[in-house]
Amino acid sequence: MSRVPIDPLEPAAAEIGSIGNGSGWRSEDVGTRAVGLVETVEAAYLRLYPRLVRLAVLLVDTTEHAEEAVQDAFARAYPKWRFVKDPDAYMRVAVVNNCRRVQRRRSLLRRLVPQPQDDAALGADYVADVVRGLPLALRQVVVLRYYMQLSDAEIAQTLGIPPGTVKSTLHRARARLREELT
Amino acid sequence: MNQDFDAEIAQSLRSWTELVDVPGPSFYDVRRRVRRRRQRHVAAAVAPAVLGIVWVGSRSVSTRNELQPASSASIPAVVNTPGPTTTLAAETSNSTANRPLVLSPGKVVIADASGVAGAGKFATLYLSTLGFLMHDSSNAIAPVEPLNDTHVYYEPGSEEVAASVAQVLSVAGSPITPTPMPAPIPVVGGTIDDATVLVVLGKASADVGMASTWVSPIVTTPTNASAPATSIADSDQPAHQSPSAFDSGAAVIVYMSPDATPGQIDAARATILNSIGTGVGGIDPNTLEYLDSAQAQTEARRVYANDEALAAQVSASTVPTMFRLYPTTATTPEGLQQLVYALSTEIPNVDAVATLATPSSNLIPLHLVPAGETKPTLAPLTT
Repeated sequence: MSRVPIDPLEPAAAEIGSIGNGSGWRSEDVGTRAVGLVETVEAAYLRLYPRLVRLAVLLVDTTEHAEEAVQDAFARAYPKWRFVKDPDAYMRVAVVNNCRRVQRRRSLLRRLVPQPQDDAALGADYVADVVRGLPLALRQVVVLRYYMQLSDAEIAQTLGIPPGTVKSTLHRARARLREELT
Repeated sequence: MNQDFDAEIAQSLRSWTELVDVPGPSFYDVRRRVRRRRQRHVAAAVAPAVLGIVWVGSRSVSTRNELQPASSASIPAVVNTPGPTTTLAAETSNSTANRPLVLSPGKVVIADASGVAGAGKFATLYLSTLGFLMHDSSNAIAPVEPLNDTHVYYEPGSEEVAASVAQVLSVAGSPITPTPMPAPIPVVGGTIDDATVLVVLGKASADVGMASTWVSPIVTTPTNASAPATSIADSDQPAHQSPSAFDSGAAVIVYMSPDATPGQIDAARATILNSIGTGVGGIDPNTLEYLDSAQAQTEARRVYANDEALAAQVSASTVPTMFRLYPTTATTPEGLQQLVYALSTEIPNVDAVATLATPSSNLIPLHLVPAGETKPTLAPLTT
């Protein structure tokens, strides 16, 4: 059985995103063509979950909201999983977008109802606290660069902004961090 | 220097996140969310329609005498027939306005030329509630200029549907006469896709609140084809006990969890009446209405009589049991938000809360869903 790269848009791969095959990988042999192995959404979830939650917790402050952002991102991706070519990049974008959504809703709810403070159970770290205190626009660039170790181009792709904006935002974020930390 | 600084930040973030206690992932959570998203997709679509039906009924009680001009004293009634489509039977037949409404063949699209925010969406909702097949314009079909009067245009073959639409939208004392589709079509881009009836909604039908200007139909839902058609005004449904229902401009649906037990339903009712009712929102207890699963499904199937795809999705798992209620004091956007928040967080076994608001109320339709059990999220209603 060969691992042949496939185009997820191919009809033959229509069921590849289905859940519960046990191994986390599904082999399809449609007609005479070996379709190869593609990671299922469940396998991707189990593999990516811890890292994505840690990414999200840097963007939304509490582990509760971080888990919600990640689970919701997978729930949204579930119906269209067969179209996902790069699960890591796709879910990274989905989680960052969900974190933005969560933050927007929190700011709306904060105006209506007193919200609980950030997760007190999280450990204290001065640098991390300063990063998490940055405005979201700066924070997400910092987190993607320093935590996820992404390049300018990858950050631009993840956030849907031009690479030049990534550079200038990162420059401003660095200046802000330097000011806060020194 | 820069590299040291960057390395320090990176190391700090990595160390800090390692301290975050991430529970073992369970795909059950994702499955549950997928199921809920599917339910909400249907439920959110059903909510405005069901609310619209109640609103139409309540308006018919409160306004049928004072709002209808003598010349248009007709009140078409929705009747389910054994056939594949819903037809509308007239209550009386002494004028042209008394004609039965014809719902097909034809697809209706609204181009909002009124300049009143939300009027087009509300008109679309109103017509779909009556059973017209609506084009989902999503503001894509825009009129070329603002208008005061409403115009109804039709393509050949859809004359009768256009006449029915005109009949429904006619402002008291100012009937609308459908005309053939002009060339070019008076919308931006000159195309209305596959729609065959174009409504260019004028200010006259919207600026004083469409609710009080349109002739109000009576909605009936006989349980079988042989049952006599009875109007809502004559029935004993709770909504009719309060003709003032919806006077605040908003109504609220509380979706119960599909697996809520009868005891939990009773507890929810008691909480709504005893706690929420005297709390932030203020609810008229006479208007609190409970629809069990079968009733909710019946309503949904009737609403989707012309949409087989949606009708096929109606089941006990996609249309949960629900409470309908009408706020009496939550008549500001903030008050309504607080009420919705309270309903979603203080009542056990609630799956979602949705609201509907009339354009003239200046309220925002909301759809609030408890994500998990304790973390509600708030978003505009997207239907």
